[in-house]
Amino acid sequence: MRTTFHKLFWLWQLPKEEAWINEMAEHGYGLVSAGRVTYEFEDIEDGKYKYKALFFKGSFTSEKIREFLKFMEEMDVHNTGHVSYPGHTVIYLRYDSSVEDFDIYSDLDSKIEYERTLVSYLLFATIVTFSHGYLT
Amino acid sequence: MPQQALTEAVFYIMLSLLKPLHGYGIIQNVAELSKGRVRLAPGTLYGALNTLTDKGWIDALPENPESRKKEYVITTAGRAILAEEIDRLSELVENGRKLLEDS
Repeated sequence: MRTTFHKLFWLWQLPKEEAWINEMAEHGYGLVSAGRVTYEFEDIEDGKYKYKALFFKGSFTSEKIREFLKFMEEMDVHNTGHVSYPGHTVIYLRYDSSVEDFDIYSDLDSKIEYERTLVSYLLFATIVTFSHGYLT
Repeated sequence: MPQQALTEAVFYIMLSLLKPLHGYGIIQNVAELSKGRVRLAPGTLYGALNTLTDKGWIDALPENPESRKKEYVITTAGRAILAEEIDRLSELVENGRKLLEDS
């Protein structure tokens, strides 16, 4: 059975959003698709899967994202949904919870680079939003 | 100019690619070689494979229609880098052992 929930998370709340999706999975709801405020779940065995919510600059159809997701598929990490925004995309990945200590990045440099890209983008988006509000 | 030291992960990835291997195979091989000490996450491996391909140290093999998994292999330039790094590491080990024994 599929169930839809409505919830709003801002981009800076990505870790909170990921934690909520994983909490839903612990209670037998596996994410199958996502919209800006809509999350669709299917019934799964409690805690069967875990999820990662990742930020990417650019469009979902970009070569960079497609290649990344293709590689993740090879690793048994599946794309269960994405939400496109102007300038960025949030991608939801699902993996089997039996895989211990799973993370997308294992080295510090990649983790720092990911966080740096996200923070720079948030700063840029904030400045653009406020400038637009100030000028109009 | 001498080549910058390779990270442990890159060293093991290149060593794994002395024979053609796909991503999951590399992760398993690196874990086996390092007795489980070096565990590569998929995003880290993906980034490393792209960087090494851009540098010309490894190559992606033409895709096999029977397998959805992309394979990679080390290039001649990559072998030279690997050999240079092994020499550097040997020097470190040799000097380290010698000075430790003499102290």
